Amino acid sequence: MTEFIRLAFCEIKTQIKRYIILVFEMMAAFLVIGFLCSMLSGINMTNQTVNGAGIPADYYRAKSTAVYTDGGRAINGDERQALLIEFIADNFHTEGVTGYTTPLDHPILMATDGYFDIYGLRLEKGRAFNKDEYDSDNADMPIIMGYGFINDYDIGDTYMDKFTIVGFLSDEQYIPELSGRISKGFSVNYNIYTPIKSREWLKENGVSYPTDLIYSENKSELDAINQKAEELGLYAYNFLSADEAEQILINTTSTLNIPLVLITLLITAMSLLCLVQSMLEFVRKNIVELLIHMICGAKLSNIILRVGAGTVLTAFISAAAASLAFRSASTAAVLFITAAAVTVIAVLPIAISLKLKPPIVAVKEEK
Amino acid sequence: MPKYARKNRLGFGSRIPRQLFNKSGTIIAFFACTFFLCTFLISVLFNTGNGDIYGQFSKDAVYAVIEQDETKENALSYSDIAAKLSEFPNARGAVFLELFDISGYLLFDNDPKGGFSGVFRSVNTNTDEPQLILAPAYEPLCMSINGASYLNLNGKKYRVVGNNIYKGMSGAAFYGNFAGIKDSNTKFQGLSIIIDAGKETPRLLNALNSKMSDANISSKSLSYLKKDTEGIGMDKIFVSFAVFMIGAMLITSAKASTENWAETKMSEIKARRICGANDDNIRNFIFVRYFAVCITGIMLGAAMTALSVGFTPAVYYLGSINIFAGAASAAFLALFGGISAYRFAIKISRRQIVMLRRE
Repeated sequence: MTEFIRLAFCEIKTQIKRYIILVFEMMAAFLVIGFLCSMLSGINMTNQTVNGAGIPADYYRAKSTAVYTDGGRAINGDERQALLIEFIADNFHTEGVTGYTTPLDHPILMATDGYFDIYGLRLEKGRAFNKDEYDSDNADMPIIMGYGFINDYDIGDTYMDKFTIVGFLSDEQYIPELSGRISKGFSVNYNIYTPIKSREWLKENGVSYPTDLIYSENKSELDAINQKAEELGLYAYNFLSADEAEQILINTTSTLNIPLVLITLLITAMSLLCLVQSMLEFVRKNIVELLIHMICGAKLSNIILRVGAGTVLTAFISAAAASLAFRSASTAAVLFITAAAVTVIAVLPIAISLKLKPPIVAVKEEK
Repeated sequence: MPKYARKNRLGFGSRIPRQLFNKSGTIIAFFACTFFLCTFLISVLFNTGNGDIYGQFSKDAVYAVIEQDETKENALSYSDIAAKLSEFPNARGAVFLELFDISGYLLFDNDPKGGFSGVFRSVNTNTDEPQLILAPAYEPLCMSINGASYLNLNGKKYRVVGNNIYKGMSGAAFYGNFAGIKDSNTKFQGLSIIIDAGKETPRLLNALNSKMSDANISSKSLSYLKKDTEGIGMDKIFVSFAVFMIGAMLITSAKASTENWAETKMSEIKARRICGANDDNIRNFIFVRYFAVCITGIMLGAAMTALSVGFTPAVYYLGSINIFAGAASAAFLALFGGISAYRFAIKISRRQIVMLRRE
């Protein structure tokens, strides 16, 4: 180790001007890398605060593309909208809820078969809907209430003389809004659910089929919906799955500056280029001296150590100086790892060139 | 003078490639890599500096907000605005479009040559095909159809022609062209628009005002808004420092490589001296070879860069890549190297054979 440091200092002393420039240049690159690290630590924090909605990745939500300041007039529900919903229901598997129009403070929502599973809604007590209760037109309608009603009603009670309570949802459950900006979603504490009726019943009673989530193995298949919308003179939609919504949320809340990442990479590459070039020139210039070392018994590894000593010290001094500016253990660790990587990459061409062309051959060629 | 003698004097004999490029690999690689890296570095820096829409307009530009009761019969539609703007041949600008969870600008430019720079050049403002560049954060919103990526805005399908990685002050998610709304008969409730017709901007505003009897139009200078949002970030300081250092390093590297390269030619110079070469011959020998080597390195770098730029994703993700930036950097470094080569040539050419033999 002492020998190594002595070598490094000896090397630096002989080419002090070159190494001062190298230290400054490496420091500049490390400062940019350190700055990047600070930003990346912010991204990790953001990642931890985002919870997955748990909705399968192949379910998509249609999102309006109307200009917000226009109030979305162009896609407000009309007959054409109903025709589009019919088209979606006929051609795609959908999940969701649709409003069952009753003059109540808490309207009853008709839920599709897979709704509770997809949104991961758990029951506090009671039972889930049976398979045969979906798509049936029975007059007796079971309901599951949100946790907000748990103190007012009980299992088996009748609600509005028409609905039988069969279960209650657990507290603090949300239906996530699949949007880039809204992550928390809507509470289901005051929702009341009943199984969806048959398509015919919905048509007769003017209730639209739920198309909250549209299933598609391939997102591009959903373009058929947009084509139909255009045909009907409606605005086309963008479609977003839960994973994509979460990705947008992560992306938009992160402070990652991509151009700075690129600039850092390019500057590091340039530093590396200068370092490698400078070392190759050094070997060429001092090839006779290196040969004498070898004649006197030095191994190739010793020669590489001799050539790389200055570089190692330069890289580590620069990394240490840049680390002081950030005062962060993780940033310092990244900088030192980068310094080590830079040294290895810089020494590699030297090792290869010495291996391919030993100093004795190089000197002979020179002569 | 016999033909072969002239060739030998300049060093262009039958063994041209071997003689010319002997021991020149490092310097060629240096110029090639510098060309390649500088092209991308300068382009990314330029695109970052021009990454904001506000910076694209002159000091005469205004930010106007038009409000109207869209339910009235004489309410204006997007196409009405587009028709009025088209009457001014030098008008440029951008309409702000805000959807529920995404917002951005649609650019218009009546000048067929196009005046937008940086990453905005990727959007063709003179086509009827709706197209846009999108911030990478919003890429999941897109739908891939037949290999191309599309995003729907205001009921129109826009082809995504680039990934706008450069965050501007406006923080817009997309920058599209006007093709998507110029024929739209949708009557808007509110419209925010940047208008820049140079000295004619006030006349354009008056023309819009006269067309909108029931609408309310308010405007303020864009430079006023720019002042509100401008500032030097720490990242800019770091990058400027790093770029300055890398510039200094490249210059010193170019100088050192040239000197080292020239020194590798010493044995050849000695041989030439022995064979009767005079001072001019030696100077020419060093100088001509240096520039041949430089040009080879630069051409190699240009080829590497052209291949990378031709590779579509590079432009798609980085925005416009200016190959001249690399050429200018490499030429600048070659010039510095050339000065070193010249000094070296002068020094060596004055030395007599006895002195050279001693070295």
